[in-house]
Order: sequence, then structure tokens, then C-alpha cells
Amino acid sequence: MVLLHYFGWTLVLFGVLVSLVGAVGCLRFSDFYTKLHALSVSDSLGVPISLAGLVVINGFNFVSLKIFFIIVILLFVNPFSTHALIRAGIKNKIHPIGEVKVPLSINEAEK
Amino acid sequence: MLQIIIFCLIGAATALMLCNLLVARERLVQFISVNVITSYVIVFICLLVVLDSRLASYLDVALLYALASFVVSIAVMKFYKGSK
Repeated sequence: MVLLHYFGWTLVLFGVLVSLVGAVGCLRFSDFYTKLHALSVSDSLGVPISLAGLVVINGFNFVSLKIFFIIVILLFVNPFSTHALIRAGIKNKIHPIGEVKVPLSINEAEK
Repeated sequence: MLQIIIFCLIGAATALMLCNLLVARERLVQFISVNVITSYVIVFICLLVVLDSRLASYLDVALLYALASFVVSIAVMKFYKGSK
């Protein structure tokens, strides 16, 4: 039981560290798409792992069930939000810094 | 002790995202920052609930916060027009 407790706190610590790395990456990277890349990956990994650690710490009860629902919602919601943000970036003609050019419109991207 | 370290790390991540929110010029980057701060606040609320079981009703707030964040982000991106 004590081992499970420590395992849960380790998961929480790992998830929070991943989130922190993503936040640092967002500050360090230069343009919209790379910032979004850093944040979406770290957010999709770090936050659910932290919440899974909280489920392990709390044991299996009603609070854990609610936290599990939050994990499921976040696992579905984060990729959708990222996709919507990138789509809005392409629609509004935000180009990445450097030589790579994104298509100027969604229709052009689908050709 | 570990709980304090974790709270400090969440606070540091949130502070970094707030800095990004203030520094960024593009509206979309600012919107990413708000979206990620929402996730950090959800983790913060869940951590509070696990540490103090009297606050169990706050989990409903966190659940609704996650759903509202999703709906708002989809709605804003659908009707977002400006480039800067």
C-alpha cells in the first residue's frame, strides 16, 4: 500500500515535470506551430499522467471515478483543441518562421 | 514535502504560461496559453481534492471547467478572423 502511494506521487511528479518542460518549450520556441507542438504533446502526456497518479494515490472510490472522467475528457479534448488551433492558424495565413511554408488555405492543403 | 514541491512546480508552469500570455503578440499564441493554464488549474483542483477530502465537490467544478474550456476553444477557433 505504501509502495502504491509512492508510485502515485512519482506519477504526479513526472506529469507535472513534463508539463513544466512544455511550458519552458513554449517560451523558448519561436513561432506559433512549434509552440503549439511543444504544448500539445506535453499537455496530452503530462496532465493525464498527473491525474492518473492522483487516482492511484486516492484508491478506488467515487472521487477517483470523477478524476478518471476528467482524464478521459482531457484525452479526447486536447487533440481536438490542437487541431482546431492549427486549422485556425492555416486559415489566417500564419506562416512558420523559416523556409517551410504552410498552404495558404485549407482547400489548398486538401488538394 | 513532496506535495509542496509539486504545488511549486505547477505554480512555476502556470507562471511561465502567464509570461507567455503577456509576451506573445499573436492572438492564437495567447489563446494556447489560456488553454494550457486551464489544464494546469484542473490538475491543481484535483490535487487539492486528493489532499483534503472535504473539497470533493470541487471535482465537479474541474469537470465542468474542462468541458467549458473545450467548447470555448472550438467556438473561438470557428469564428476567429484576425491574424494578429
